[in-house]
Amino acid sequence: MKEKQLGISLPQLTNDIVRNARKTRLDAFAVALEGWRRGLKLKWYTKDSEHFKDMIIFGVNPPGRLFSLSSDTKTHYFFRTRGDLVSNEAVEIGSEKDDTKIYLEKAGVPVPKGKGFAPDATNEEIIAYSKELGYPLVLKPTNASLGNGVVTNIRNDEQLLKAIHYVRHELDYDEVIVEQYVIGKEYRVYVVEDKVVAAYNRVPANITGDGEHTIEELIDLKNLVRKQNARLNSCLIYLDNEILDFIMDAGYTLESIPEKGELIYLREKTNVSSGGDPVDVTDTLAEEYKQIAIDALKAIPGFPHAGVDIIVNEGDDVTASAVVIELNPTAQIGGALFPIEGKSRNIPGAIIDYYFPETKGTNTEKSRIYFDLITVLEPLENRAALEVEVAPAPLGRLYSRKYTVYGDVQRYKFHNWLKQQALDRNLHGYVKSKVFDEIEIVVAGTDKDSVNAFRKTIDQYPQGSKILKINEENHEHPVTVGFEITEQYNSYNIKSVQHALRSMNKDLQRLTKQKNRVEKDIQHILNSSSWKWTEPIREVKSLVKEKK
Amino acid sequence: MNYEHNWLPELEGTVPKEAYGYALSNYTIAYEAWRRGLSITFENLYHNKGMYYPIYSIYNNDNKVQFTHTRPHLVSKDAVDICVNKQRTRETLDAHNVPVPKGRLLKSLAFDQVKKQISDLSFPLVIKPLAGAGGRGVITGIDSFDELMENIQYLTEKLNYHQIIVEEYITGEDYRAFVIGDKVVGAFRRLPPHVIGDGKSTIRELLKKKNKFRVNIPGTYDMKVLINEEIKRELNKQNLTLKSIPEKDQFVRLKTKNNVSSGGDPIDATHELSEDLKENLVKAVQAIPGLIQGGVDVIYDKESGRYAILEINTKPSIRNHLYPIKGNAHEIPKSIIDYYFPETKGKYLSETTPKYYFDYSFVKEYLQNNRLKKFTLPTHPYEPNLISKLITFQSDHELAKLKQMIRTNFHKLKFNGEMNLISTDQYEIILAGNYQDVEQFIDFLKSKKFISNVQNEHYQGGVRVGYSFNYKPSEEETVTDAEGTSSLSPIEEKDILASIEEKDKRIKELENEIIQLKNSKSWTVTAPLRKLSKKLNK
Amino acid sequence: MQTTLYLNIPTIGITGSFGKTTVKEITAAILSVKYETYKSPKNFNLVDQTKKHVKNINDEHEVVVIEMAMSKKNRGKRQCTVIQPNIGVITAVGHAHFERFSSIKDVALSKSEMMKYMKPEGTLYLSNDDENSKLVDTQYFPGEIIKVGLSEGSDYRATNIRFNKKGMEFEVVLNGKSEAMFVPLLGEHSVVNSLFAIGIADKLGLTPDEIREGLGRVELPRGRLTLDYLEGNRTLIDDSYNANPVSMVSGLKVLNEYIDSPNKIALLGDMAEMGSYTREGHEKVGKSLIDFTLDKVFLYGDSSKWILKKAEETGFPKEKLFHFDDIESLIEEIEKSYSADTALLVKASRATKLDQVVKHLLSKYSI
Repeated sequence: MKEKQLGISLPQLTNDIVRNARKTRLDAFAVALEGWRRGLKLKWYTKDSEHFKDMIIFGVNPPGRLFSLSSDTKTHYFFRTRGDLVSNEAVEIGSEKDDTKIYLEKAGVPVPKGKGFAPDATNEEIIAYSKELGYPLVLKPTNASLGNGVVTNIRNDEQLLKAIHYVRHELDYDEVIVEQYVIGKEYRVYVVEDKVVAAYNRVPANITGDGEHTIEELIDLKNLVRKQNARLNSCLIYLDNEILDFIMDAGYTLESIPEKGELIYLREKTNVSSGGDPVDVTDTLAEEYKQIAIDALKAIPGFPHAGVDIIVNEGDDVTASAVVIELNPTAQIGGALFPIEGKSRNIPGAIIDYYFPETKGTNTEKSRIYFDLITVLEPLENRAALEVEVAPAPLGRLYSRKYTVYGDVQRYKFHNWLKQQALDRNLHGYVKSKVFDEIEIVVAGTDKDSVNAFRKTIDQYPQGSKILKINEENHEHPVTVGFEITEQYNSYNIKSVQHALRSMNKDLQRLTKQKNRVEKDIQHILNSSSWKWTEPIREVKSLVKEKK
Repeated sequence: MNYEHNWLPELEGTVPKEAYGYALSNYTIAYEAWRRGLSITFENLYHNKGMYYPIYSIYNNDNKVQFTHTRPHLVSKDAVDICVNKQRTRETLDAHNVPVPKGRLLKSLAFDQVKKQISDLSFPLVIKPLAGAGGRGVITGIDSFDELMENIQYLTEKLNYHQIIVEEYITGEDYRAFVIGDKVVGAFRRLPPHVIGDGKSTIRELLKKKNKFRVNIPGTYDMKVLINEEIKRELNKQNLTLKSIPEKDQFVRLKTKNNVSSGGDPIDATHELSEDLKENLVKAVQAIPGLIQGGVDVIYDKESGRYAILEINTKPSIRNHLYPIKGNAHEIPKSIIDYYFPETKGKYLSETTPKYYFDYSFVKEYLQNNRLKKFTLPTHPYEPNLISKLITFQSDHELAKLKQMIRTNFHKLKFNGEMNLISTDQYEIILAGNYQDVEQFIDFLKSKKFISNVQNEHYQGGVRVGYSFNYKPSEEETVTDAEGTSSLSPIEEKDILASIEEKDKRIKELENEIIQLKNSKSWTVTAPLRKLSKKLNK
Repeated sequence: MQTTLYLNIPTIGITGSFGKTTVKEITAAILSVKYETYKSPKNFNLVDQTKKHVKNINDEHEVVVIEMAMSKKNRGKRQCTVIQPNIGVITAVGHAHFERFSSIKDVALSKSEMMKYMKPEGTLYLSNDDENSKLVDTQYFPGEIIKVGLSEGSDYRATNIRFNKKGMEFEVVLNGKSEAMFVPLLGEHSVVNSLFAIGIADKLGLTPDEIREGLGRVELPRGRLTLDYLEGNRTLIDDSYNANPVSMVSGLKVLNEYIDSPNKIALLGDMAEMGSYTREGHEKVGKSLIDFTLDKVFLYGDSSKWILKKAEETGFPKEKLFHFDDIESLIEEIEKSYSADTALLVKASRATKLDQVVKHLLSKYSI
């Protein structure tokens, strides 16, 4: 069942294409795909590869985050969105928030006033300093990520103590930073050299009331919307204690029904991965703020591209117009690629432009060719390969046609012959068995004539096939490189066919049960006396609603 | 069957089904290199007829050799050109005093011209196309001039060969020898398709048994001996039918032609070669500049000792060398790797190292589909204290969860091997890894409540690098015929396909219905009450 | 592929977060009394170095002693793939290298590779004192495990430890009898290091006398806690070869507890190779200064400023702390302070080059 294209995205990077690249694989995939489409050689690696022993990497199991792109003259290695031109020094400094502050301050880049504490610093030391610095304050771990452990807007001693206890003892982050709390909107800015490629406002997880649904239901509904966004579908709003505490603090419960239009925040963290909304503001963000982000990277040696988090100051007590909160050497870029509002920004393009400036100007906007990440990574996942190189992308405009063939066309030999014919002619696509007497063939290539001529080829199967009819139609969807015969089971192997049948039967049983249960539930309630009892109330309510 | 044979021990249990047949040559050479710790990359090379044939590179820090089938890139283009052209081959060999059949390339195919050109040759004669591969277009036993012209006409008109070589017919048998450097690694000749009687079974039954045996040999798995008119005719000549019961040990020939693809059997014949012949075999290869190695075809008459070298193949298949039905297999992969990577000679793994092998299915799944261009194998595991075990257990736990658990552990503990579902709720795991990790894993399995009857024993068979999950079917069920279709009868296949389609449809329908129900007003409206009842039921 | 060396003679592999070289030297010294011994040269302990130097093992050798660094995952595996020990030693599991992305568990796992990849039926020596060594999971190791240390329950235990101006005296029970031992090195840790060697030698059939003779032969290269008695009752503890926070504090302990001098000064230089742990590591030393009785502390190098700062913060008297950025001024000041009846500890990483200072003082005050 093909998902409807919902959500904002780059034309060449739609939901369909990134369907199999979830979470941190999305970043790697987007950059790799862009490079590959420009004709660079693309290779994927496992973490055991020698090529990455000098790069700082983490969380690389299962594979899908380590790759390299090569031109004829050079090769660059990447870990997600971070390439090898970002020095290890920069990564280390960027990952230690207190070191970051020191460098930025030295270079005159505005940061919130504050300092870091060693793991064996006493709570008293921290409190003493905090008092000197003055409230409101932020307390956060020196080297955590994803917004974890950040406590903002600490306004008095009591809150400070609570925060210290929470971060240092409950969460076990002994190394912390104390800094001034700057009130304002938080932006994630992606910088490549002297340019801001994308800037988006990260709004913490939130819901808007409609006067009908409870907070819990609104969260479900919001998640339904998030599910349709290729980036957000892997970071739905997860109802955890943090959210429960947060809304309770604000005076709500899960059952509360907010007014129509009432905006309720569920968290303080702004990260997209904790349910935040990315809102693209690249065109509207003021130049001076962008410049601050650019300057921030320049303050650290060997840091040509990364994500910069800034807060635009809305208070009137701090001198700088915007301050840099932290740097992100291995930034996730899904928020800029799939914002919930605004335009998508081509960060992968900017990154590839930087590493391979000779490919600048290659227009991949209309590109429909891609590779299936799961297929490509499978041998690495099974550890049957050490590294793999993806078949080269056909360069230039892609023409494609879809043929639906009816008749006695289910013989595997026929499908195999079709595949050979397609590969022979440098065509990509697939043969898919649809229903019993119908197959679907898609061929795509850069030679328009070959593509169109395939119609004739289908009829030319030497062993003869009983083709009744061939339907030809336009095909504009993305196509994966290579040619495949998609069958739901391995027809070589009886046992696997039997197993497929068995599991289908199980599925059928389960779904039938589920459907019956749902029907029963509804019936039961509709028939129950309590329902009948509440009838008058419900009527009144609907009357009241109508009046409104 | 009843012949004694010694095949290479390192290939036992380590040749995956995907490497059978044509791919065997690629696989065994790469495998030998891989066992010595060399790096291997397979790359797809577009070949005509829509097939991507992989080339493979074998390399280490100092050296890299790229192979197309059995031929390394170091073989010069010149050498290849000479060997493809049978006339040039003859001339080159002749110039080096290597015995070749007397004959020549016919400059003209006109009646008188031909007569002139064969004036110094004696019948019987043989004609063959200048550049035909294998035995194509070769016609032997020509006894008269008329027959000669008839056959020339056949070659030109029917088979479209216009460059024809004529030679004297040499009595003897066809031998194929593999030569590399200054060594004849081994030679085989072919027995014609045959069965050996046991005094009880009919020829048909004997043939069935033979096929069963043949089909399980990597070299001949795709070459069943099919019962056809040719066989019936040949039996007829011997006054036999398929129903006849031959005597014990009686040799019954089924066809005249020996080629293995139509049912012939290769037998090891290295010991039959005279020293003189061996010398000339080496000389032949060395005579072709830049050839280095090749498969040499020679006709040899054991009794008289006379022989003539026919042609040299630069990309010989080695399957018949590796799986002779009688005698010793020839150590060709070893000779090849010894030759190009002499520093790895004798660098073998210890007896206690598990018998690792690598998955070859990627060639079909990724390279031949043009999904991937290059595929680099992980290096052969090489560390002390590796053991391999076969573990069996029972569990009725959900398959997906069980698979996930095993897979996670495999990765964590760096095991190689596979998990197989043998029959309902009965599993086996073949693995190799560090002995402490293996023991820990076995204890882990035993500790799980949903796993019972955990048995383990040392495993001597092949262990595939990586991790895979398989359904282990019985042998009959995976047999495919040469064209690769499934072994279900068309009617069965139709039925099952239909059933699957139908169920698929139904499943989708149900899913949709459930979604609709959940979206319906009644569902959302009854939500609070359902929740309440849930709470109350707690 | 270089094939693994599986030797039939005792092959002792030594790893651990600290003490490797010392244990290697002491073990080789003792075993060489009875056997033709091969030992890994200097402090060559990396895999590539091991690959090279084992080529020097020949048929004459009767016993092999090799130091093997196993600081990162798979290093141990690779070491044992070059040559498989049949006697394994893990001296300690601690934060020798302060990688930001690893934890004590990771360190233990790395050292455990000795146990996993050495000969299964061999003998493994572990520290009974080191808490973290308990993280080495020996459940599936079929060989013999021998525990060594000062604490109760050690298979080889040192008791009655005394410093006698030239080194350490102690007692060990061998074959049921208490044997007096002496090793010309300083510090408790030197005694523990000796215990590993003594345990190995005992199991390999050396008599207590042979062991004593071997211990007497121990000679550590200059700069590893070497003790010099100089003119005017001056004592110089030269530990300028290597440094990490733990050993720096140990050195200060030695100065504090074993040296009987009216005046005590310490010269502490930068510790190198600590990456992002640099500041924390130096601060740790700074914090510890208050526990020692020191008359003056000289600090040299950029990072040693953290020692100074932390020492001040934790109450160490400011006026006793001196920091120098250039070596000439440092030498000048030290000479002034290194009066008669003074003991001086010099400690820093080799890169800090404090051995220059040592050389200078030795040349000036040697007897």
